[in-house]
Amino acid sequence: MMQLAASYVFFCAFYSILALSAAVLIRCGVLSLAHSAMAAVGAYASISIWLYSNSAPVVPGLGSVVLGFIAAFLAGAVVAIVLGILVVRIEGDAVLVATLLFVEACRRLIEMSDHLGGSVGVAVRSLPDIDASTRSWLIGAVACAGLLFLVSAFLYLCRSGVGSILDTIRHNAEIAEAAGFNVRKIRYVLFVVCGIVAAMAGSLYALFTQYVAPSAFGWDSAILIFVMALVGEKKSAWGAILGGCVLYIVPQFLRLPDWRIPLGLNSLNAISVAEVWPLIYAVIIMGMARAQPQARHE
Amino acid sequence: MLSAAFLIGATFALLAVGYSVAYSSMNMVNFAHGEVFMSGGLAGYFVLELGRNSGGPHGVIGFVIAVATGGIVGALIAFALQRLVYRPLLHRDRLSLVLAALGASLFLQQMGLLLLRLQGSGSSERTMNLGDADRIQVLGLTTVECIGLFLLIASVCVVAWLIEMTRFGIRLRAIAFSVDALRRLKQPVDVNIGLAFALGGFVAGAAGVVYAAQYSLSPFMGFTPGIKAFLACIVGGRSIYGAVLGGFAIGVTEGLLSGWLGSAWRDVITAALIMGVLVAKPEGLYSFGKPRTL
Repeated sequence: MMQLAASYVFFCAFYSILALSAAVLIRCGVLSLAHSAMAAVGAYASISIWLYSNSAPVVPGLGSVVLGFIAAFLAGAVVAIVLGILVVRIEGDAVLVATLLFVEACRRLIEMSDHLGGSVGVAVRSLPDIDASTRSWLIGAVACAGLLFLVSAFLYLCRSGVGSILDTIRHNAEIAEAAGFNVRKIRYVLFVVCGIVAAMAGSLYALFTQYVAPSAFGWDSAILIFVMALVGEKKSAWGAILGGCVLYIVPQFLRLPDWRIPLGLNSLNAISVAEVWPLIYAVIIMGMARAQPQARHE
Repeated sequence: MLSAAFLIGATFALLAVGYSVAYSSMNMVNFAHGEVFMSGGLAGYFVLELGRNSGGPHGVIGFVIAVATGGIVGALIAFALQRLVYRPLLHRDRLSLVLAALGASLFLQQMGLLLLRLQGSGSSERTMNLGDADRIQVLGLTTVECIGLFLLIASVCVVAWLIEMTRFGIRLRAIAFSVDALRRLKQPVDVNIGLAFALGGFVAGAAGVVYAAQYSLSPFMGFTPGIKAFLACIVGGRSIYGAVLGGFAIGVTEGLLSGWLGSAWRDVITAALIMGVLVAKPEGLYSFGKPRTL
């Protein structure tokens, strides 16, 4: 039970970090869906290091964990720097689709790699040897601390005036350019920073689950993170956190009771409420679209 | 292999038509267009199953009816999406259209899953029963390939005629240039956008039946072709002819790569190629600096 609670805490923090990094990019007009792929890059970079230290334990225990984080940071930075070149060159909604294609290409690339376990995934065992429940709470606490740091940094930046610059870039990039801001550079830097944050979150995911499979980082996760980022007030960090927590917890709770909806007369042909959840989720997304504010005309 | 590559090219080109129309008329990425394609395939599958179970038309005639039904269902769904989901959001923030399209895409996908679940238990993937239609060959091409290629050529001709020669096409081109100006001139903008969506939906729905007959039917079959077709539309320079050319080029490349290197490498190399073109020429290959987008 305690471990389940730790898992809820960890995943809420994990999705909130990803949603927050997506929200920052949305705020400056970059509609990227690459966060799940960046998390996959971080997770696989870390797990590769841990696998290496398992077969040849040069840096055991905490050292290997730190090394895994550094690997995630570097891999995330390299991928974000390269992908960022594409993202800042194309405009508007095309970024959404290009990044979605990147997510799918990453997934296929991982599925083809035997070293990374292919489509089955890869697991690690000999991470720091402590009690499972303590370990879960510890990683959950690290994720929460990371989230708190990001929220503080985001709120500080917004209060220092960066928030209004980002809003101007999003609503009218030409005005921002005319005011002397290098829009492309700002977007590029933010994309790289958010990519690194997502990769680090992926590293924490790998540490927590000790198992990484490409199916966890597909296009459905990419869209989920994007929607989480849009729940609530976009100008505050709390909206993304609310989205991360609610959209993670609700489907988990729907899975708990075995409620079934009969289809037709045959009682065997029934579906569980958890199976209908994606349909409800789709309606919620369309409802959210109606709740968006009126367009601005600068 | 070449004929299969041509068929994939034709499918992407037909899908790209719908994306180009939505992008030009409402400046949006219609994420649900891939699911309109899937819905057409689903409708065609049910028509073929109905024909087989009730002793109705089957074989080549059954398949042609299935393609027509797929097209009509695709047109109706695309029209309904535009009227009920997208149109009320025209004056809202740009993100609202993105969200609505993502929601509609997921909704159609899950409805497809539910319908296949109701139809029978087991896997959500189905194979279309074409009877003797897939055994008949013309010039080395199967019936499915012939109908797919005919559909592409006919669609491009009809769409080009509609856009170049009719008042509907003139209005559509004007909408792509400035919706607000047309509204001030009291032109029926909404009706035209709805009809343009229906046109894109018809072509996508019919292509969905051909694609499902050639490969297999699944509620998720529209997603990846949808993404690639949209990018084909961007690569092609967002114009309708550019979209057709881009879609056809990407599809044929995919088909050939699939035969040589397998499906996993195909997806990776295609993604790299598309991204390479977008980095080198973000405005697309067929833009020529012209203001018109349709």
